[in-house]
Amino acid sequence: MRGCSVADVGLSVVPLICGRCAARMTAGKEQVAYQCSGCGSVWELAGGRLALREVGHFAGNGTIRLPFWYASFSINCLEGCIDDSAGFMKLCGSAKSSAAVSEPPFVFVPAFSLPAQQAIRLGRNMTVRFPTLQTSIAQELSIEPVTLSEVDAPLMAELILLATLVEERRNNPSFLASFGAVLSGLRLVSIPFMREGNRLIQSGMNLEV
Amino acid sequence: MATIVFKCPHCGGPFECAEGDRGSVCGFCGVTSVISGDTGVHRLLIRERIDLNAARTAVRKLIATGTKSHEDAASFSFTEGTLIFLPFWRVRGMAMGWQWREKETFREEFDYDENGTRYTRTVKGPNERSFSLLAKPLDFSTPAGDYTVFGQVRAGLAAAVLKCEVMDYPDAAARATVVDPLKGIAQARQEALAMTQGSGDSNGSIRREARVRISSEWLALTYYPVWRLLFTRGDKVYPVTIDAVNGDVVKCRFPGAEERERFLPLALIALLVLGWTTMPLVGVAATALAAYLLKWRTGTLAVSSIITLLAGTPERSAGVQRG
Repeated sequence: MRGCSVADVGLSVVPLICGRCAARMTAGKEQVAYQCSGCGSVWELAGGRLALREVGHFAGNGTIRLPFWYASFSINCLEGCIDDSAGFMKLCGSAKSSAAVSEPPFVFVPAFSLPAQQAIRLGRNMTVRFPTLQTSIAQELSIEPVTLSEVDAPLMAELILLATLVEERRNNPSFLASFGAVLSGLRLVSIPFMREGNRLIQSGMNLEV
Repeated sequence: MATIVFKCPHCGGPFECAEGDRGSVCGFCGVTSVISGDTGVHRLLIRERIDLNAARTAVRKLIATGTKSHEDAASFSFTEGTLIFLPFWRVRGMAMGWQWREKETFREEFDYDENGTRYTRTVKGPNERSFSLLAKPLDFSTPAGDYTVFGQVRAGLAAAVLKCEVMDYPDAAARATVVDPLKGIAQARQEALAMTQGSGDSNGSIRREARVRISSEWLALTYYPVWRLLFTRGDKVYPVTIDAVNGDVVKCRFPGAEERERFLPLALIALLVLGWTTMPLVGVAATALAAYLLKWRTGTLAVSSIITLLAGTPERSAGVQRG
């Protein structure tokens, strides 16, 4: 009996062995990128095999490095295409004055295991604060497990950007229907946080997880 | 959650992974492995646990128990049996998006009429608009076709706890009939998303907009085994569906044995003849007694049932029916 056609995808099992130093890697159930504890390289599945993933590290105080997807974005909505920080600030009702208003805005999408609502809140806070981050000179730093895949990052980014909008816009169905975000230059970065009891603090951005 | 059994790429031992998980550790060699191909449709198969003989026995037992007659069970002869794999869609992931609602609001106002009697009236208030971001886990399964002919196969529930294996289509097709899905991926996704959106409060909603998509999607077609057996009696064919995992008879319909009433019609006729030939009063009493007996036996005094009884037309006893 033949009904609708279904494109089959072969399921195969790939052993987690570091392609650089041949050490065995470990992985949690939800993890999508795997870091070698020997050489610190980060690997992910691509086309049925492990491929090296570049991770950018931002400088700051703290020993726990949380992974984020980081990208510049433009928003298409009723008010046109918004691709600079000034336009985005206007859209989200931010009164903050930024020196680089003509620069593209950046969105932060938490890539570590966190309940969805908390991840949206954290991403929103980081995005609307327009943090100035400096790249760390250290390489191959240990990062927390990555659980959000690159494919899913744009969807989460759209929710984070919707959460930044002022309420009048969120209550306008025509605006919502027209809303769409386009990410460019998506990359995986790590940001250091300090542990204080059960909380993780990023003092530079005044953030708490 | 279903467990999928693979072969460990490092040591070749059986490697088990929960459905939707991306990786697991091999219990034999301790190497962590990850599942490749987490996008697209995976075909998984649940193996049958009972063979054809066990399925036949289950049906015979059911007929014997249902009709309380071993002769009756033996009167049905087995003709053929086919193993069939029925596909079920399984959608797991995270439903993410937004929902916007406009609701009517009402409030109660109290007032007094000219007699000073207090009364209440309901007044429409301004419409209430609400926006919410949606991000919640999704776990949905639905038949990939219309299986009413097979009865209610509870595969969705069973597939969540049983061990599955990656389907070897040629092997499965060689030993069984593999039903292809009639319901497409898009429809399965749509149903899953509708379930997510429909679970909220929709009382008084006059307008609703939403854009919800599935992230971290795990889409699988799980094939569930059933036995389809054919029994015959005379020139009639009786199909039976049996769950090939737990041996439950899912759908069948076997009629009971024919019963022909012989004693009661003769006794009633004899009673009436005797009564009316003796004297009219005894005839009236005999008629009343006959009516009572008819009512007791057939439950009604309808002319058709009286004729059926007196003519000795055969009646069927309750048979066995499932599904």
